[in-house]
Amino acid sequence: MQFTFLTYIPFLISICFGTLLVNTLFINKKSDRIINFLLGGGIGLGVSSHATFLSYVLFNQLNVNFVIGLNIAMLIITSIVYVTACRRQHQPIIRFSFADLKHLWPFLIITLFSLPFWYEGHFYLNGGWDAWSVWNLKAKFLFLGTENWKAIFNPLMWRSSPHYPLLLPMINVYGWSFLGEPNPLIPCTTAALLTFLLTGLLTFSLIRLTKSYYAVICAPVLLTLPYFVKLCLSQYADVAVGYYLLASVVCLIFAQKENNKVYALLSGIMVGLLSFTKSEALVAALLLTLLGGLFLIWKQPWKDVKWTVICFLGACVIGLLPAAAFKIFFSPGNQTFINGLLSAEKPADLMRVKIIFSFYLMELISPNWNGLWIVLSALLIFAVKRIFSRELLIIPAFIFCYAGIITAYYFINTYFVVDWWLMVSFHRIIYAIIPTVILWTFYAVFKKKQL
Amino acid sequence: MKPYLPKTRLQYLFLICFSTIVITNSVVLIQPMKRIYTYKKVVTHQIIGHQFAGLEEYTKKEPIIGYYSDTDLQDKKQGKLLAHAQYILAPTILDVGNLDHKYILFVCEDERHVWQKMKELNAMPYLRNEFGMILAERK
Repeated sequence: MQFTFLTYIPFLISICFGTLLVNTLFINKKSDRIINFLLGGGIGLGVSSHATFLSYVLFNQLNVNFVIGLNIAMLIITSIVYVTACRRQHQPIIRFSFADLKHLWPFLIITLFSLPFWYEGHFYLNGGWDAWSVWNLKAKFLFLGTENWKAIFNPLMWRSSPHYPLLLPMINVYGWSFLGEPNPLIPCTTAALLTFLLTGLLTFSLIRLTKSYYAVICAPVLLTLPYFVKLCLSQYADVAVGYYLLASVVCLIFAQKENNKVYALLSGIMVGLLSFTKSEALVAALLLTLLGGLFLIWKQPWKDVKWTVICFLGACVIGLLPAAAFKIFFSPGNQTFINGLLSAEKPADLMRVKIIFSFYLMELISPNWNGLWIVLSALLIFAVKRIFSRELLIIPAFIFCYAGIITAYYFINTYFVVDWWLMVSFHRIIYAIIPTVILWTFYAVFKKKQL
Repeated sequence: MKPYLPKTRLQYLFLICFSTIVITNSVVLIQPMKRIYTYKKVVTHQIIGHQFAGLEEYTKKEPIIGYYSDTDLQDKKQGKLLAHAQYILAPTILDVGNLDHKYILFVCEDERHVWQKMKELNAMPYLRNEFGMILAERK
């Protein structure tokens, strides 16, 4: 298999039009261009994924010319809009000075600590078990299946979770459209890019929030954690869940802190993209929509925050439409569900609850995480007066509600033996929220006291 | 924007804990790197489903084929083999255990079981690859 520069072109197109879109939204407002790039990259990938999905909706199969043409058209349109907006606002199109380079040094740290991940990821080109049996398998069916692409929803494919949304497979299909074959370099690059955007966004958003460059320690903690690295390079959708969840929360915090309508809009877009990654991420997205709206309104005069809240909720509603369309028109429903509250054969009982909570504790102290969860828990306890402060409230509210919903689901769905199910799935759920928890902890510890 | 020194004991504790985690993680991370360095002397990258490579050319026009194995598919190794077969032969669906299809893929440890089953089903071998995977066609 030959590496070609063509592998990177679809990602460059997505990142470019995503970043241009975000920069256009901030055209006459103060913003951090590095964060714009890190948010724009994720938005670009998500929009390209939806554009690919649109091909199946309109043509009932993959139309490569439509997918490539639409993405290039989006790049051209966003470029024209951005240039026009710059001219109208009398702003330079390319704002760059050599003095800006000194702010980019955290990228060097992230890149350095990403090298082992890069090395390992390019050996395990086909990813982990769920890559070849779920995510890349779906992508292959979508890419090669022509009009029979709906075979991924066939009940015989129950092992590949046919009810899962398709953001990650669609990103990979988009990349394969340029290469003309299901080359494993594309899913490998998708995983690497999402990991880079995730760690970059965590670092730079904390630098902006706390004005402390010590935030650069957060990315290496993740990039050297063998379990985290393994899950990133396994090419699962959980890295996408982690990124879009973090991005939603970061934008919500900025939106609340600055009463900024643009960040509220971006947060809504990220919530929408989050909803199309996995089923539990759809639950997380709905929860964030509700909690985010309350978070923006909480103890604020309505007339001051009205448009910020409307921007957020409006973007959430629009962003949730593709996931809703998928669930209503395509998804066969969860075939691996038995309601234990109603089932006589597989009832949900108290022992199940005990097993669930015991497993939670065992997982958090497991050597797989090298003590990270123990350290985070201790720091959160020591900073207890600050972790529930106004600007951070969205994070504990989300985590406690999400934990409750996940626990209830583990309890009620008795299709699987609970200890096996927890063993294969719980670590991925907490892997997806760990960047958000690190954000919470660092911000609580390092935020400046209000004078 | 200037970085500032840690001002509180909690901030020092945070940095010490996180730095310790980074250092210990980095040491642990050396092991998988060494392992991959050794593997790379033999293969350039991970290869999956090589046992089924080439079969997809013959099954690609079939939406569904049967899959028969004389082993326990609950076993992790056999389950992995099934997953690899499904990935390589995608977009053809493998209908595990259902032999009411025109084509059936036999993945057996003992080839005698394959011939026995083919006789029961009145099926003829269509293709056999070097790994002993047999694609049979029912008459």
